[in-house]
Amino acid sequence: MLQRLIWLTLVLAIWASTSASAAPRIVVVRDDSPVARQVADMLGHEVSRLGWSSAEIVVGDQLPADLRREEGAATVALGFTAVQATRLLGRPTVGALVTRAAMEESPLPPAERSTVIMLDQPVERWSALIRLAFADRSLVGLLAGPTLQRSIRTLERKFQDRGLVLVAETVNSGESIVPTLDRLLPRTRVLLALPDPLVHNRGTVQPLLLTTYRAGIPVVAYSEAYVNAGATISLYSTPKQVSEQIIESLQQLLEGHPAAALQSPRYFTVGVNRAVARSLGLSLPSDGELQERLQGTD
Amino acid sequence: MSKKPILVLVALATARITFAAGSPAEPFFDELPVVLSASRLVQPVADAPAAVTVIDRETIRASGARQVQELFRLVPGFVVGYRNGHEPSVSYQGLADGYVRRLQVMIDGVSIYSPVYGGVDWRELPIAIDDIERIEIVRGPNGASFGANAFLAMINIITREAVGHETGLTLNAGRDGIADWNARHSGGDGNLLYRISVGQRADNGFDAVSDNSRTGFMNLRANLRLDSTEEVAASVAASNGSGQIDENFVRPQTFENYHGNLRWTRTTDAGSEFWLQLNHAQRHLTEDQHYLTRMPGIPGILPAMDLPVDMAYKVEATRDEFETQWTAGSTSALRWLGGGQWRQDAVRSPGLFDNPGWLRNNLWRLFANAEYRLSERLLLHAGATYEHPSLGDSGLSPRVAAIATLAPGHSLRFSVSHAQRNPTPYEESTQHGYAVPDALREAVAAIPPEKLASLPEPYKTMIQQTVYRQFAMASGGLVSEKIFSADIAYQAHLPALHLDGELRYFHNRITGLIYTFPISVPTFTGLKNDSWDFRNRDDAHVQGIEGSLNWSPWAGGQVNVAATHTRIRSSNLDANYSATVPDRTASVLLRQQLPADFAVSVGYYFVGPMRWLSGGDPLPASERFDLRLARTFLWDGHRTELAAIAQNITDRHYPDFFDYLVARRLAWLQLRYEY
Repeated sequence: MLQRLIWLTLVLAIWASTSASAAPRIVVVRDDSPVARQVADMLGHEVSRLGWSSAEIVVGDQLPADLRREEGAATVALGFTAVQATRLLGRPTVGALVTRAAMEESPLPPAERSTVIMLDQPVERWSALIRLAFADRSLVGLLAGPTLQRSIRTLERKFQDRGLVLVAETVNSGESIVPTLDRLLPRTRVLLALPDPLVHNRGTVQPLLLTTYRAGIPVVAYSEAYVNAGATISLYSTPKQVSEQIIESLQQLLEGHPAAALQSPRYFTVGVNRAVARSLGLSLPSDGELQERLQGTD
Repeated sequence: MSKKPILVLVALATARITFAAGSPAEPFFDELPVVLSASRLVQPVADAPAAVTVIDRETIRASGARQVQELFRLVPGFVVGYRNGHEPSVSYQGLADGYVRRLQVMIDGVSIYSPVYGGVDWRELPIAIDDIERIEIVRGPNGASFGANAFLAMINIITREAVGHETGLTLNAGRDGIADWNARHSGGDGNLLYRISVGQRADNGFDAVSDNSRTGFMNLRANLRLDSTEEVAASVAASNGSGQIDENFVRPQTFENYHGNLRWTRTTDAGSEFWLQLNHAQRHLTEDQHYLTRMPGIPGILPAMDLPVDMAYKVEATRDEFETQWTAGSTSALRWLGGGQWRQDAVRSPGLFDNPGWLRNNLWRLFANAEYRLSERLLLHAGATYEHPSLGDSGLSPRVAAIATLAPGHSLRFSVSHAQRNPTPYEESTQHGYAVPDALREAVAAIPPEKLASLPEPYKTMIQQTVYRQFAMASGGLVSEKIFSADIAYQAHLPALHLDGELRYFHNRITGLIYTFPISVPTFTGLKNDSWDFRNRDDAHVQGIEGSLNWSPWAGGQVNVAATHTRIRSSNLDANYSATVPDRTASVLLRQQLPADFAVSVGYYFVGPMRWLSGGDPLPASERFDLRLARTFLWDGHRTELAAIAQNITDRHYPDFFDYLVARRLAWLQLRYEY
């Protein structure tokens, strides 16, 4: 009993010394992708603005030996490799820049005082956005590759709650995208592009956007690059928005509050390609108005 | 088309490809190429600064048209006539003969306006009707955007881009020698997409004359993406074929066409795009015929003779263009585009120009167009082209337009524009005649001049109007024709009712119309013969009302209506221009999807009384019905369509261009298979 009390006191003392310290040290572990570097830079600035200190470690195929040695009050892991590598360090950890698909493919072992912020926007936000932007269109098409196929039922149900009908077609090879679209488009009024590397990549974006455009069907997509490429609307979180949520989660963990194991993006951007919308003869609310109203539905 | 530059560019481009497979963990931040760039986006008709008609693929299919020119019957104010089975004339608001010189026609933004006679050789298009994505027709001058010759109207045929793996085959077979086929395939992946199409069109033309023709064609286009901002597109196209013109005698013709285009585009975002392009086109037309003609002779003066007619008549033409365009601000209230073009046309035809060498015409132009959304209710357009041609006048072709939204879906458009048509090399420089056989020249030289001068009829005419006369002798010095056009239009765009419509009043003032002017020229006989020069002498005022309506009143049904009422006043000095514009035209295309994957469409076309220039006969009002019945089914798992098509199904015999060319019913079966 006494031993336990001593242990508890020690743990509390260590925890208090780190959390109550004026300058917690944050270890940022990231993969070497440009976006992870960008978010790490933003975090670095934010961390020093808060008067904290930070260290940055890049993980590649091999785990760096100094990962465990690096002392810190908390860890930020950017990218799925980094999240996996830091999972069992035992420190409060905020993971980010991770897709739901990666998490489902390689489930992470449970870890206390850890949270992962996913890139995928919640389904309810997609359905609310489509309702706000296209009040008179309720048939929503979806091309589902291997990544999305297991989520179709959930998507259908949640869309139904908003009065939308999800019309999904499955795609099992990159070559079948156009024929599948040809079958799908006559039965839809909007095409929803959700991340699925087989369906949406640099090679497929041209046929996909040209085919939908010819059919007069607006595409609602998941990234800033997609709306620049020719999607009518995109819903996405910018690296800045991701880093804001990371800081907030860090603060929450360091203050000893629990955090959900998985989080959806809290901050997001709605981008509208006005040129495409105008060409399709759509009059859409302004980006700001859409975003504000969408925040209201969250 | 020189192949070397293309190969070098493709090699350079391939060397620069930097794309790797997308990282599966981060599709959210992957760079993507700008696909729907400014040049791929279609401006909504209601926002355009001029009256625009768009014919899309569904309309093309429903119309049952076998050949591109037939589609223009669906456009308000357009009339399609046939000088013979394979020489169609497509005119807008009249003032036209067999070579419709006051219309600019382009394929994918590249002019196919003939560098010799003006006009377009429709039978020679190197594309199939299934290669067309859509056709945009600007009714009214469009010189502000495209320079000279976009005078009465402008047609831009936009072909289909490769979008994946598709293979298709279309066959037409019917009476009157209708035998068309077209096979097409698109493929590639990721950075390189290509599309190829080959085929032929063939028919026997009209019953009364020997005017059968056959055109073979191919076109290939490839888009190579260099990175997320840059793309190189290359296309080559060719057509060849033969046909006969049966006027006073049968003249067999053969032609060959080659087109090449190379375009490099840099698109930084959806609103900004910059491109450079090179075009090359060449055409060879040959009427290679030698025959003997019997000259009856003049008793006591000239013996009867069998004389050779040398019809080795060739026209070679080339066109080289360099063009650049910059578009900016497609996403903001102010959008603009600007650019420049340099063009050289070269023509060689000893028969037409009495000159063994090449005649070259250069042109350069600069253009800028801006669109400013002043408020939700007011959209302003201003644009101009400055052009410096070696044939015709240097000058500015401007346009201003304003579109005021009265209520959502209802707007008024006002526009004022000016444009010009430059003289063609034929009008400016032709010396069109045939070589006089030595035997005739010597026989005539032996006749004392006073006897020749006092020849009685019909011998005098016989000598003067021999086939060896000088047909046309241009003295040159022509100036460009000018048009000043103003219009006001009410436009309705009501998506909830599935209805779009336009009612437009226009007034065009056209000055300096170029036409043949009768002259007498000395011939080998020493007598003068009647010939033609070209002069800018006539003016015309054309005004009228045009209406169009596209409506889907119920599911699976659509109706397209076009109607016009036009009035013309002209000085009619050199030609009866006033007769060239039918006072009324109308077209209706009804289509309906039926159960069991059947589809039916009915076309109705009416043209009021009119007359084509250059010898066209007075034509009474004509009307006809077309019918298309199709069924789509899966054949071996692939989409297949079988259609029965009949044009002029009631078999009304109306004259087309000339009295003796009588339009009759044409019917054929069409099979379309997509793999």
